[in-house]
Amino acid sequence: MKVLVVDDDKTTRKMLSLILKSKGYEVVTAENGMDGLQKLGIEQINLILTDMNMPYMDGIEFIKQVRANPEISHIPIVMLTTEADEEEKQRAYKAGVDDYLVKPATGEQIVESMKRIIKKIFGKKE
Amino acid sequence: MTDEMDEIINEFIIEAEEILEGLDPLFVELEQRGQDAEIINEIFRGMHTIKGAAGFLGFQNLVDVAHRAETILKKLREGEMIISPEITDAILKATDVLRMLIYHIKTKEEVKEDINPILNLLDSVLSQASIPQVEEPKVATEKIEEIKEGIKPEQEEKVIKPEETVSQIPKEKEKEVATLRVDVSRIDKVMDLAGEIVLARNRLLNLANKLEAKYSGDENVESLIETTAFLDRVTSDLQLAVMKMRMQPLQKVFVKFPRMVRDLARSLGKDIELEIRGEDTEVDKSVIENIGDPLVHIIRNSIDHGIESPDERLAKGKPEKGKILIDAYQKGTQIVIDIIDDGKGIDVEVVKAKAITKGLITLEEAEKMSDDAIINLIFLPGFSTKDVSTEVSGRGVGMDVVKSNVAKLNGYVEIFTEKDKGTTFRISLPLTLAIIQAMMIQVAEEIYAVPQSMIEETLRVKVSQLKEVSGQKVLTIREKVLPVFILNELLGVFGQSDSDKKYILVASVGDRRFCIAVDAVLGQEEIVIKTINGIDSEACGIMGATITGDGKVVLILDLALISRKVFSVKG
Repeated sequence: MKVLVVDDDKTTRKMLSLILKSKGYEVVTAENGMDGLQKLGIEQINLILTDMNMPYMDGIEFIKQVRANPEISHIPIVMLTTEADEEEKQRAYKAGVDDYLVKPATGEQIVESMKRIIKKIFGKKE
Repeated sequence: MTDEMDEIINEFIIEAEEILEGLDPLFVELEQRGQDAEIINEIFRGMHTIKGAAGFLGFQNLVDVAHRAETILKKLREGEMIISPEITDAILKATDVLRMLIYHIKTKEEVKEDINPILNLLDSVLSQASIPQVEEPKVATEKIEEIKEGIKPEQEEKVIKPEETVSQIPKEKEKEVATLRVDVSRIDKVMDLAGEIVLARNRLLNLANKLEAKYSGDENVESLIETTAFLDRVTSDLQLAVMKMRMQPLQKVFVKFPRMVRDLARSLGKDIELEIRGEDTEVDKSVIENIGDPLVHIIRNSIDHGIESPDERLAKGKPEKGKILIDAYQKGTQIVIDIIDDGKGIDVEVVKAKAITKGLITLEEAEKMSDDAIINLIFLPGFSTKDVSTEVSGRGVGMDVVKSNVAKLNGYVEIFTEKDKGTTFRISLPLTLAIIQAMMIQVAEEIYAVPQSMIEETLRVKVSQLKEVSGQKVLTIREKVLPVFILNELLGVFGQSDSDKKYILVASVGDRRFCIAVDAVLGQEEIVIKTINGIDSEACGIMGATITGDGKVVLILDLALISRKVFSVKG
């Protein structure tokens, strides 16, 4: 299980990587949407965890791009952001996220959300 | 699993501490520059990161404090609030509380922290100023012009809109330098081993030279000489490489000063600008660890005793704002740190009077002393220019501690002062602590090592050339009269080799120049200082020991200590 963590903040990337690794996930990180797309081209990613506000390419645009590319459009996406606004949340869902978590979220909450989505997707397939 | 969690928490602590450390200087800059959106944004980002990371790990207290600070910063950034010293104080307090909370996580202390006071403080700051009042700042500050500059209409942009975030201030591309965190003990082990190699190399060189003298022309000896020469070069490179592994930029120490100067100046009602130069200068890790306290002490002294109050400064025709400059640079094989203030300078007469009343010197001694010598009295234990030491530079610690702490790093402190112009404290430290160039000397039958860095020159003189002036032996070198100390006498080592000729080492320690007479100078050698356990090197003037090329254990003399002793005895 390989997770792509997209966040412009170094510390956030580091902490998320450590937490996810401790839960047994493999982690790849990217600094922004653009970087994220590049990583998706190289790595076999199973799930994306992305921030919303980032320079160069923000989370919403990143999600749109992922969803528009048939090769990677199936990858589930969790958005992890400080934006608690309902409007922002709707925008994220419209762009195609599977779950929307508001920071600060605990490591447990993040992993819970990821498990939930994976279960949902597996459920569909079976 | 718990181990893994511990590791994650440790990582969080390191990151958070680094962020907090980076924030302090920003606050000071913020106060100087007024409402600068860029700086506010940088502080905001720091808080934001701490909040997020603390959230991942469920440290709710941290999240609560950081969240409120972040909210204030957001309002500042968007011009909904105007910066004032009160607001800065509140946010600084918040960073202090964050530090404390992180410290408790680090020490795993099960402390029930009461964070309500800080939360209330931050809330009250928020509620006071939450009414948007961009035009007319109601908060009285002394920096109105600067604030006006700070509030520019473009700050009104809502950074929240994701479309706009694309044009956000381009974040500095993080330098993805591949680094490895290594346990210090491992590096020290390598350092130790490198030291051993240096010693072995020295012995080998010694041996090879002997063989060459004995069997010159022999093919095997020739190639041995070649190999040892190669080993010699590689060893030097290895030394340098290991040394560099332990080097860290002085910034690690300097980063605390802006905040400290700001807080102290504010509490004393003084206005002081701090400038820091050369924070990239790298020094040995042990210097980083031990130079902080002496520097803090000197800076406190400059703020407290050096820089005058704004009124006093104006009366003297000086700018109202005092200035302290910390300047670090490399000079030859030494690292120099200057702490320069533009205050009132050290009053020689005051120091003199004080030293006499404290019984440190007699009236007659004082008459004979030069101004420099008198100013250096402030380094004597039990000296303090103010009777009632203030909260700032008091605490029962005197400048003598500064001197001895610096001496422990094989460095020395000098003072340059001029009335009403200011004072400079200069700390000079050796580049590396473990390996030094030394001069091997002989006194009667015994061999000692003396750090080369302190020797200016050596000469050979007849004993009859030494003159005596009021009980002190002196030697005239190029029209300068320098005191001469006979090492045999100082060390109590006598033997039959007292010939009529002596070797003179002209030593320079700080601002003192003096001569040391020895029986023979054996040459120069690169030595590794090994500390001797169980002796008080302060008291006996011995820096440590080393093993020489021919396998002898030799004591390394600490000229700084010896000079201090002889000078304090002889005045």
